[in-house]
Amino acid sequence: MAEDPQTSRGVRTNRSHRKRPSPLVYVIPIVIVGLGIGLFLFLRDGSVDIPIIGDDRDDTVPAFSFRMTKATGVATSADAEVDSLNAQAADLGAQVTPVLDELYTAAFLDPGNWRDGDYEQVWGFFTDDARPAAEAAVETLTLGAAAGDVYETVQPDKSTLSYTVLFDPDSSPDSLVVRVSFSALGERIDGTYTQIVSVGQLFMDDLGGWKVTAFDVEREDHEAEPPPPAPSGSATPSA
Amino acid sequence: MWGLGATCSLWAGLTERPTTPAPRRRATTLATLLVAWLAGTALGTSPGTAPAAARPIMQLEQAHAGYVPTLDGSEPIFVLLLGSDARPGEEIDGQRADSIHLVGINPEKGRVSILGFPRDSYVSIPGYGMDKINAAMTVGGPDLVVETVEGMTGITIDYWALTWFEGFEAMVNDVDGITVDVPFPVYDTYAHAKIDAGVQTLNGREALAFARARHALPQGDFGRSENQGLLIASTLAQFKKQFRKDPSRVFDYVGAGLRNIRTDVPFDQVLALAFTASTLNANKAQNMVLPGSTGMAGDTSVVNLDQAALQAISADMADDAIVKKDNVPPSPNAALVEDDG
Repeated sequence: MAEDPQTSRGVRTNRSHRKRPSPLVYVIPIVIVGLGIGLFLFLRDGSVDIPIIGDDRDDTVPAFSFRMTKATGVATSADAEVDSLNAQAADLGAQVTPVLDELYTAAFLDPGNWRDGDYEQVWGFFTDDARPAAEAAVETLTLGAAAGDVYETVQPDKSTLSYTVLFDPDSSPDSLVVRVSFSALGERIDGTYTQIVSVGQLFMDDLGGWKVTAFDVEREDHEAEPPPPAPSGSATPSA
Repeated sequence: MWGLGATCSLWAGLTERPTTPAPRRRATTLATLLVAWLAGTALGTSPGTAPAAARPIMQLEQAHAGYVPTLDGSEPIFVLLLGSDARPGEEIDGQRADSIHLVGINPEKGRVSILGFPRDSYVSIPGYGMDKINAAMTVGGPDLVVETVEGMTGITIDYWALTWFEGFEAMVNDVDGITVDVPFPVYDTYAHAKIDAGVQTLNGREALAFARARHALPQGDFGRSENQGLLIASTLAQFKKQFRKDPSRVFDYVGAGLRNIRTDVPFDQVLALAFTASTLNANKAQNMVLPGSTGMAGDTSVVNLDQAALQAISADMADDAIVKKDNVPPSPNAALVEDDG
């Protein structure tokens, strides 16, 4: 460093021209602090899954079962006994209901499916002919491909089924159509609630297991009020 | 968040040693403020605002999805519908087939055509020689009627279905009637028909009367055949409409049909046929009657079919079940429709 000429004359000089630290010395720490505070605020509501922060999601599959309300038989032979067909239809409905419980659980209630939007388990309930149409209708027939980004939890509500069974000329059950009314309450990540409603008709055949051969389904989801707080010790409402 | 960043930056500016020239200090402070503001705004959220990822990707309010399996549409499907003249107690398939309609279905294009054969059509009945077409069933049942029509048209018929007076009436009542746009009044005491023009729901008795009436029609049996075709087209239209609202109605129609007909449609194909019917365009259904003229064969009055029209219509139907406009014959009841306005 060149000697200041004034110094050489014994006069104390101002050190203002001495090299100073770059302003970045102050800026960088400030930005880092700002980023840290921002990340804290962003992550604190649990909307981003970072293991290091902790994961308190409940991935339990809620218990669910449809309630069968009615079963009717349709004869294709003029001398069939209607009462007998109706009784058979009721028995058949009781057998098929668990299949539908499983289908709708897979489609709407199992977090293992809807969190990742993976409904492969659902498509197994459709025939090969019906499957492409079913998969194309994923947003109607299931909670949706992006449900994991929308919902925190989904709990079933009261849901019902009624059956009409077509009997062959020998009075053996051939096909059935089930009218479905499914409802569930979804808690969204933002704290609001959606009443998830799926109504429609599924035609099914027993092809070594009951499969959906045709369908006509509507979604009628709408905003909902939060559920009242459950009294301590009470079970989660089931269908 | 931007406020916090700005505060930190201001503090930094205040504590910065006054060792640099004033303009450079101001520039540094402003740059720091800007960076902190950008960082805070990009990352921070104010209380009550949901993170972007929590907003729904798709707001689902109402949606619909539907699918029905239909028959392979690569070839047209042909069904011969027969009405027996059997009275109560008589063998249904051993009497004359007084109503004969060939229904052609094109699943791919959603089209249907209905071709009526006048019951007195003088034709060649395989193994029996020339006779009225309605005699074929008395000697050979529905199968012989199928063979006869196939011989006339060159069309391979896939299935036949046969009903009778009581069966037809019960069938109509089992679906709660058929809604028909009756084009002109039908008053025929022989058939017990007293039906005004206009859209109305005919019960079983009324529908049967409408199907049997011919004495008040200028072209007699030709006009009656056209009215029978109108009932078939109206039933299809009604089924479609009801299916759209309530698909389970298909079971009601299948049940009503099978309880009151005889058919060679395999049971496992019935539902597929019904689902296919739900996709057909009923508004574009072609309803035709083979043209011809009355004549005599010995002492018997017969209908001599217009062979050119028969060949042209048959060729069109065999191709894709759709008859070209130029080959569609005139309506036998046209004069009545014009008179009725």
